Amino acid sequence: MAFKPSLKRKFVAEEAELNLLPILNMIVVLIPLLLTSAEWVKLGLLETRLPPQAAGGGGGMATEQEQPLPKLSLLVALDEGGTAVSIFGATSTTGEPGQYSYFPHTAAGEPDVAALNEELWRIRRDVVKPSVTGKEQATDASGNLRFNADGSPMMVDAYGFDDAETVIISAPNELPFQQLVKLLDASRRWKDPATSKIEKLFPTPLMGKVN
Amino acid sequence: MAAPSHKRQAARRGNREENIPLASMMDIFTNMLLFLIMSYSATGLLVNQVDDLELPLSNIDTSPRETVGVVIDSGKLTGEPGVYVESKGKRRGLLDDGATLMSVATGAAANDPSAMLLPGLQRYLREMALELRAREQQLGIPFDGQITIQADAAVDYNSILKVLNTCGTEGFSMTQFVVIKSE
Repeated sequence: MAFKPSLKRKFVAEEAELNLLPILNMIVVLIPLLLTSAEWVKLGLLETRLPPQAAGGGGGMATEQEQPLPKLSLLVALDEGGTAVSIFGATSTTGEPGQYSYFPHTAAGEPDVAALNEELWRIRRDVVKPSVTGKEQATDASGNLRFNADGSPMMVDAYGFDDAETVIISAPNELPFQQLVKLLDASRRWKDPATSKIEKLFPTPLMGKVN
Repeated sequence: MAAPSHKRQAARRGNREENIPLASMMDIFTNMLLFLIMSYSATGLLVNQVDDLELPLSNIDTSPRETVGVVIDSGKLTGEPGVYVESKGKRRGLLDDGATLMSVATGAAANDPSAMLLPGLQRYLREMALELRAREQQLGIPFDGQITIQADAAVDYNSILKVLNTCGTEGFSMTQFVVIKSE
């Protein structure tokens, strides 16, 4: 039998109102607090290095003696017409196929950073390859060992090249800094268009001039 | 006891206590709160952007650290190009003027290493290095040669190289450029 409430019942449920005042008070306090500590423009740091002779160090020699690995000598050189990428010191007339490539500027007269990014990824994937010798402790530009904030050794991937994470940048005198930053961005990481996975390229740029 | 006459009159007219509808305001506040929590910075700003400087955009994800700071101004916004001392987001003094910064050595002078040095910046960095090395000995704060550079997006490559070269010569080999994260 279905339940039927008694018709004699006089009780009427009152609509309960939620007391929003304490929440409002909290929000009114929180909003100014967060407004003052909000980071409207996110700033980042772009680390660069000088070639060892300009850095005034020379400590890199010790590392070379301890680990006599071959040099990749990756060079990205901009000129008035385009961007040249070379490894193992190859030029447009010397070197084996795949060791030198040249990308003309875009129609806007700017370096073709997309093509450069793809070429650097090819070098990373096919020439440097993934880490072959496990992990080793990171060193700075002067060859000193690097440590994490907690004092533990800073470990990085070890590769078959002494300068596997380094790219030497050379550009014309008048290149604007924004263009240089775009080049550095293109040489630091590669994004897989299919999976959006970020792959490390050459995160240590050395800036100089190649005559 | 009977209610006062004005209350009885009000009750007869049907006046009741009106509630302000807070739901829509709560919605706005909640959205604002979420947005602000997303842009909240727990560490605070360790590097403040200098006024009248158009920093370049980058996809870097490294956060700024507080170190010795210099500004390279192309003069695009201020009309006063040069290298300045930076302290807490302000220009504190001109180290090298625009002519010194942007001069390009040609011919035999191009091979002279001193052509790539900025004298004012060099003096300043030498003093800072001495101060930081003294602090290292007294307080144990290591001097790691870090320097933070705020450079205008329009500054040319030659000026950047001059500043980097001067920094490297004076022991500040870990140079870091402040950029605006664009992703």
